[in-house]
Formats: sequence, C-alpha cells, structure tokens
Amino acid sequence: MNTTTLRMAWRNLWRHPQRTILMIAMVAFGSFVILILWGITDGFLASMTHSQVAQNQGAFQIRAAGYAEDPVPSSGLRLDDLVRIEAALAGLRLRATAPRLEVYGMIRSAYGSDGVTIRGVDPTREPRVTDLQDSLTAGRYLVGPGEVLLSAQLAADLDVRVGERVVLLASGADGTTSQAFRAVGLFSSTVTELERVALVSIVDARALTGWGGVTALAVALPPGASTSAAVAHARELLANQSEAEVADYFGLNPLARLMVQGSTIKMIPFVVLISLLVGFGVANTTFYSVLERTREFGVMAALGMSRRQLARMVLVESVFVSAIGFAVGGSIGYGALLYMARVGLDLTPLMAGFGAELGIPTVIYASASGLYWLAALSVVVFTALVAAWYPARRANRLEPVTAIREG
Amino acid sequence: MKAAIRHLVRNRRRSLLTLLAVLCPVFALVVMFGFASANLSDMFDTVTRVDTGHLQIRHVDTRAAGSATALMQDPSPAIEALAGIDGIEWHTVRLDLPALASAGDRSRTVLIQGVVPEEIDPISSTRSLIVAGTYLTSDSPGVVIGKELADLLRVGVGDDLVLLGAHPETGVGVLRVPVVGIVDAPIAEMGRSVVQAPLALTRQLARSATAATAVVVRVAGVTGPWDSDRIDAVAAKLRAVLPADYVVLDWRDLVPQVDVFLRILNPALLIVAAIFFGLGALVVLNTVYLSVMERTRELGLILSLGASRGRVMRSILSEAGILAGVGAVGGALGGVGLVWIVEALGGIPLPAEYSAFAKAVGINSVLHLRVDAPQVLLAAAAMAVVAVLAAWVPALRASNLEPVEAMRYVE
Amino acid sequence: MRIRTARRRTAVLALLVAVFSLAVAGLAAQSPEAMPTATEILDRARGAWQGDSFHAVVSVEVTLAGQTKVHVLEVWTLGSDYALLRVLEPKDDAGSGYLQVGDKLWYYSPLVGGSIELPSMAIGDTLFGSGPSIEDLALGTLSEDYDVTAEAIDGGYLLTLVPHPDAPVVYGKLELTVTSDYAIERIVTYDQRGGVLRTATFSEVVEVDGQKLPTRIVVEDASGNRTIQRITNAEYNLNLDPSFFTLERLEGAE
Repeated sequence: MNTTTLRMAWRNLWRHPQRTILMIAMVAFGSFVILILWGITDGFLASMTHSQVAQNQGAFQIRAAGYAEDPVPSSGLRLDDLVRIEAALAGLRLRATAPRLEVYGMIRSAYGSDGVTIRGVDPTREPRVTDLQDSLTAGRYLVGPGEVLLSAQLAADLDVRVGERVVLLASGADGTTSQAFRAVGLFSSTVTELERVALVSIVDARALTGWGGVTALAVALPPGASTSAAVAHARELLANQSEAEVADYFGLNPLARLMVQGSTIKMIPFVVLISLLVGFGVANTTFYSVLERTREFGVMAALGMSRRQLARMVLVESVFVSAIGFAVGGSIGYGALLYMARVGLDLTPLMAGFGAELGIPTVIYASASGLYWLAALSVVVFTALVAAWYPARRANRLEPVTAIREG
Repeated sequence: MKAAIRHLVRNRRRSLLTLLAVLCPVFALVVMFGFASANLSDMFDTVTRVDTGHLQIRHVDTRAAGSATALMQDPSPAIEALAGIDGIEWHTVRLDLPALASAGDRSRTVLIQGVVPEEIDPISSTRSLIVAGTYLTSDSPGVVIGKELADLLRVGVGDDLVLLGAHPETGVGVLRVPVVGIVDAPIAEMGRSVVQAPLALTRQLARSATAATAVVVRVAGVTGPWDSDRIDAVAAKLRAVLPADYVVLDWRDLVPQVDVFLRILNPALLIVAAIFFGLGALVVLNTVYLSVMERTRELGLILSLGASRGRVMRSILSEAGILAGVGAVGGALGGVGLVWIVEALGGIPLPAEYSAFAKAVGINSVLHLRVDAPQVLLAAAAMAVVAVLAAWVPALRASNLEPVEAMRYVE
Repeated sequence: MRIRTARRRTAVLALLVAVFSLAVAGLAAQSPEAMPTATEILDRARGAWQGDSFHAVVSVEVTLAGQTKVHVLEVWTLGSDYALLRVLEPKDDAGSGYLQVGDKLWYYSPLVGGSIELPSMAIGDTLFGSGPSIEDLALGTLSEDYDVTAEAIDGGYLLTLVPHPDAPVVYGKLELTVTSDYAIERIVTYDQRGGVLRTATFSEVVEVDGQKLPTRIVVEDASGNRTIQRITNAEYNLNLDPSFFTLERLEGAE
C-alpha cells in the first residue's frame, strides 16, 4: 500500500469531522467497555487470590516432600532441615518467612465442639507474612502461648467470646492431648478455609502434637516481585535439598486456575458481541460515506485509480477510525483501571451488611496489569472485517461511468 | 403507507441498510440477555440444585452447637405439609451428622450427609465424580468419601471406616462401614470433610429410625433468582401449616453468599445491558440519521413541488417506523431463533479446560442461553424508538429548510 | 500452660464411675469439729472409691426435644482403669456395649459384628445425647483443675469450684452442694458468662454394703433436655479382677 492511499484516506476522514468523531467515539466506547469489563473481572479474581496469599498462605510455601500426600505433623520438616532451607533461601529476595505447625484437631467450648485446623504460628514472624492482624473484628492478635485466635464464624458456632476459654484437642505422639486456650481475638476473612482454622502460638502447637518441627515455611515477597520467578528461583536454590518442596499458589489451590480460565471463557461472548456492534456501526457509517461519494469515486476511477485501490482506501479509512478509537478508548480505559486498581470499587452498599463474613471481598480492586488491550483489539479487527465486507466491496464494484451519472 | 413501502422498495439498498442497523443491535441485545441470564441461572442452579435446594424445612435451633444442625426426631409433619401444597417439584430427606471418621490410628471430624441416593442421583453430580468404586444405593452397606479423606485416613475402596456420630442431640453412635466409592470432589476442603451415606445407615448412627436434619425442597418452575417469588410463596404456605418448632429457610438464608453475590452481579449486568443499549442506540442513531440526511436534497425537491411539510414528515417517519419495526422484529426473531437453536442442540460446548472446571464444581459444561419475553420486547422496543427518534431530527430539519436551500444542501 | 494427655481423661465410662464415686462418699466419717477446709470437703465428697469394684443395673431415661427414650445398662467397674458396660434395652441396641481398659476404649455391637476401638479424640461426647458429657461428671481431676472455696450453708456446704486459668476446662465454675455428711446433693455447671449450663441432682440415697448411694440422678440442661438415671441391684466389693475386662466378655462370648 502506498502512502498516497493513506494520505487520501486520512484527508477524506476529516472532510466530515462530525461523522468521523462519532465513529471514533463508538470504537473508543467499545474498547473502553471491553477493557473495563475484563479488568474488573480479573481484579475480582485477583483480589480473591490476593486474600488467599495475604491472609492465609503467603506467596508460596516450603513444605516437606510428601507432606501433601500425608499431611500430618510427623511428615513435616525437622528443625535442622528448616535451618538448612532458610540458609539456602538467603539468596532469594523476600520480605519475610514464617514457620508454621499445622495439625488437625478439635475445638471445644461449653456449647459444642467442632473439627478445626490448629495452626501454630510464631506471633512475631507470622504478621510479617500474613496480615490477618488487620482483619480482626474483636480483641487483638496473638502475643504468646495460651492464646488462640478464632474466626468470627467459628466463635459464633461455638458461642465463644473474646476473653473466654476453649479447649483444643489434637492427636499427639502419645494419644490425644488437650489444652486450654483463651480466645484473645476474632478475625473475619474472605478466605473460607480460614473459617475452621484456630491460630495458636507455635510453642503450644508443638506441645500439643509432641512434634518439634514445622509443617510449612510460609514466604512473603516484597511488593511487586514476581511470584512465579521467585518460585522458580526458590526451586533452584533448594534443588539439592530433596526433603523440601516448593508449593506455589496454584499448587495449593488447584481449583483457582480452573476458575480463572472459566471466567475468561465466559467473557468471550460479550467481547464478540460488543465488537460486532461497534464494527457494524462503523461499517454502516462508512457505507453512507461511500454512497455519498459515488460520483467522486467515479471521477477517481475515471482518472485511473483502480477499483482495488478505491476499496483499499475505504478500508483504510475505517481502520484509521478504529485505530484512533482504540487508542483513545484504550488510554481512558487503562486510566480508569489504574484508578480503580488504586482506589478500588467499594461494593459494601450492595451487600446489605454482609460481605466480609461471607467470603466475598467488599472492595474490588481492578487489575490494570493484564494484556486486556488484546481483547479490546478485537473491536478493531471486527470493524475492519465488517468494513471490508460491504462498504469496501461496494467501492470495489463501482463502474466509473454509472457512478458519475448516478451520483 | 403503501407509498412508504413503495418508496422503501425503490431505495432497496438504503432500506436494507437501515433495516440491518436496527436488526443487528436488537439481535445482539437479545443474545447478550441470553448469555447473561443463562449465566445467572447456571450459578443459581449450581448452588440450589441438591445440597441446598430452593428451601429447607428444619427444626428450630435453640442454641449454638458447633457445626451441627438441629435434629427433627421425625420429619413426617414436614413431608405431610409438603404433600398439601402445590408447586413442589422435588423433595428429599437429609440427615447431616457431624462425626468422627477413623481408620486405624488416624481420625478426622467429618460431616456425614445421610441421603436417599435414588432421589438425589438424577440431579446430583456426585456419581460423575466417582474415581474408584461405585455410587450409593439406598441399601449400600457403606459410604462414599472424598479422595482427600481417603488419603488422610489411608483407606481405599473396600476398607472399613469407623464412624462415630457426635450430634449433640443424638449421643454417640458407632458404625463400622466399608468405603464403597471415592469421589474427586471439586473443592479439597469438601473432599476432606464430607462423607455421603445412605439415609438408613446414617439413622443407625443417630440411634433413631426416623431422625432427619432437613427436608430439602425444590419448587417447580424456578429457573433462576428471578423466580424467587415462587419460592417465597411456597415458603409462606409452608410456614402457615407447619408446627411451631419447624422453620422454613430459603436459599437466601442457606447460602447468603450467593444472595450477596447476586446483589453485586445484578447491577453489574444492568451496567453491561446499559452499555449494550448505548452501543446499539449509537449504531441505530448513526445509520438512520445519515440515511435521512442523505435525502435532504430529495426532500427539498418534494417540498418545492408543493408537498406540505406535515406530509413530508409523515412519510419519512412512517418509512423509518416500518424499517425500525421490521428490523426490530427481525432482530428479535433472529436472537430468539439463535437461542432456540442453541438450546435445541443442547447448548454450546465449552473448551475442554473449562469443562473440567465446570464438571468439578458440578455446573453445566455447556453454555446455555435463555431469554424471556420482557427482555426481548425491551430490546426490540428500545431500538425501534431510537430509530424513529433518529429519523425525526433530520426530517424536522429538512422540512424546515426552504426548498431551494434543501436542494442545495450538501452535508 | 498445661498439657494433658488423654490418659487421665479417657475414662469414657467415668460418667458412671464418677457417679458412683460420689455415691460412696457417705462412707466418710462425719466430723464433729470445726468446719473442714474446702479441699477436705471435696475430697471427702468424692470419696475413696479407687480400687473398689462395683456392679449395678442402671436405667437411663433421656428426654430430648420432648421425646423420651429409656436405655437399660448393666455396669461393672474396677477402680478407674476398668469398666464394662452392656446395653440391655432398648431391644434393637441390646447386646452392644463399651469396654474401657486404661486409656483404651472399645465399642461392640452385634449389628456391627465385632469390637471397634474408638479414637480417643471422640471422648467427652455424651453417651446418650443431652445430659452430662462423660468427662463432665468424671470429677477425677477436680482439685487439680479448680480452686475450691467452701461456705457453710443450711444442712451442709456449698463448694464453689473455679477453674485455674490454664485448666483445660470450658466451664466458668461449678457449684457443688454437699450435705453435712458429705454426700453430694447437686452439681450446677455454669458457662463462662455466669449462665447455668446444667444441673445434676442426686437423691434417693440408699445404703448398700454399708455405703450410701444416691439411686436417682437427674441432669437437666438449659434447653430443657433431661436424663434421669436410676440405679438398681447395686453391689460393692465383688470379686472382680482385671482379667474380667476382656473383649471376649464385651462381645458376650463369656
């Protein structure tokens, strides 16, 4: 394609600025909408991931090889393993690590009992990896032994209030052990698994289980660090420590990956429909401009411009329109997403007072980091395709003489 | 009218284009509604299908008791009440019992779901998730457990589990039962904590031949959250006839998360619908406006030949009206037709990866479409109105021009 | 902080054992002197049943949510380490039973067709629904877990037991009403907010082999559920030895 066609197409567009701006607005609006839809959906999923990472799991965990198949304390990591692992991880840029000792047991109050995961944590190190201390609904975070942190839901089921005593039971090395704990705080999390988790000091967990090691080392990364890169690096660093394995987010939550794919697929029909509408709108407008210029085209054809060139020019006009629209809609869209990623969409008014207790994030932070413009690009592609289909075809079919007469 | 049609036929190309301009957005809107409603009804169906039902009849709960649900010694008053009410599609009796499952020196607290397998099987996905052994029948001697629990307790199909029923109202009941099937549950936590057993077996554990925790009810004709009036009506009737110590909980009470989620989703869908309407309207407006503008010169000619302005307006508007009407009806028919065809073919199959997810969480692995009449009417009417309005403005302008001016008019 | 392993708490049958331990309290000689200390009263009330053997038929009437069921059980105990319990009624449960040896516990039912060793974590749940949880009435660790204070009341003493801060106890306090001849009349269990969780009342004291035994024990909880235990055919100091408590006997082979 020569530059003359491009220049002519460009000039043609601005002969009717009003109409062109309308077309650009349509494309911009379509691209904007696709970006926003995609970014918010992704942000919703990401905020679920984020809660998991921030409140429950950490960015990734180091566990004993084989722990996943047999999750009992005695298949966890021994302390000397842990020391070696922490030394090996020194080469990794990370924010903090926290050891954990988890065991399955029972919790008992005066009103009932329930199965619960007893999670022994280091009260000073754990808050640097997870931020559950920011989600307390009553009381305070763990400080020392003899204290337990419960989910508000579990506390309600067992009718336990802050300051009251509960008994935790676990199977230890020599039979079932029980110990009294004072509920010092209640938390509310959007991560449903945390509902049946009781946080205690790791000292207590060791006493209950009779196991001196840990079941996992949770790792938090500095802001902005790539989790997948860090996981790969950690795997490399631990390559010759066969007793340890690195469990990443999807390894710990296999369903999450499927969910992300699922929601992406469900977005596609909407994207296609929006693109189709915008494409049709632009093509229609272009078609009228072609009709209007029939005589002009006839003259141009008579002056030696091939029909193919004419068709190409019309096509280029709509591509210009959609490219400009895409650029405008894209920049506004990303701007809006960046804003929503920082400020968040507060959904509290829609939730009638529920929300956090039910495992749904109350504030959704849009994601602005994805390649959503690729999805929005489908608007441009559709516009070009539809425009190539009939306005350009019409230009291609012009007979110079009839065209001049008809116009 | 005849003149209008004649005129339209004469300018076949322009007419066709305007027609398409209305048809296409109406079609897109109907299909969009189809996707959105199908999504909602899929989600609603997933959560209310078997486990929760549209509503449940339970015994009143008087105090906190861990994860245990209050026990009905005998659910027959509830079942009798159901028999006297129209509009019940399906109901089944459930006995959910917290229990300790153990094998050898390993144990874990679980929730035993005592079910009537023949009743829940036709609508439950459990059978399809079996990875070893078989699904239950009413007289199965054993239970179905999740893969995770099987790993934790180190048991396989045919191995025995000791179940210790620990409902605060039934006391300790003990059973030793074989594992007859292992399921790959969608959510690991479920796989670790849920045990499905025939109702009769669970009742042995509760030391009662009649005990139940809930009667799960599905109301006829409910396809999505928009039909909750029907559920409310049935719930109200039930509440009126049930003894005072029974409660009726609807899906909003049972799965409040979904209710909240829908509360978020509804405005979101409204926004998406508004966006589609906006885009559709832009397309209609643009095309119709341009097509009338294009005729400014022609209109000037007609005016100069002595036609009254009113007549010119009428003819333009009736032409636009006919095109808009035909386009809207065509688009609506096309959209409904597509929905109908897709449904007749059993939905749009989804890519393999998504099917895996859908199967895992027990939802449809094909994409369904559904629309209802108000949605179709709204889409068609809105676009038709926009089309007529879009014709009105340039027509008014043209008819207000002096004929000579109009004839000279170049856009 | 105190960790307790299952051993001391596993006494599933301690429900019954405990009840009988309360019963034998009457043994203790009445002391004419000044008011004894709180711990002395508690110890005397608990009695010295260790090493004693006991046999009785106990009917347990459970009223749950307005429905009443009766279980009849035959019980043998030897000290705190051995106990055997067999269900005589209801018919569909007859022949099943529990055996406790040390910290191990088995269940047998003819329907199941064999003995099942029960996981120790389950223990502490009520045997027949409602009523006292098994370990609640196993007062074996009372003085270890609670601070005891006593005051003289009309006709006896009121003991108030407040758990130590680190005791594995979920209650706020217990109040024991003890007669002047050291028989427990009533145990009231409170939650940690001062609400009454349940009340156990001991009455119809008879003398068996020179020991005073309350033959009617009523336990009521806050939601109106009730169990009534009636003890008949009680015998003390039989010639039982540990070899009596076998799985074979549990399964009815002997």
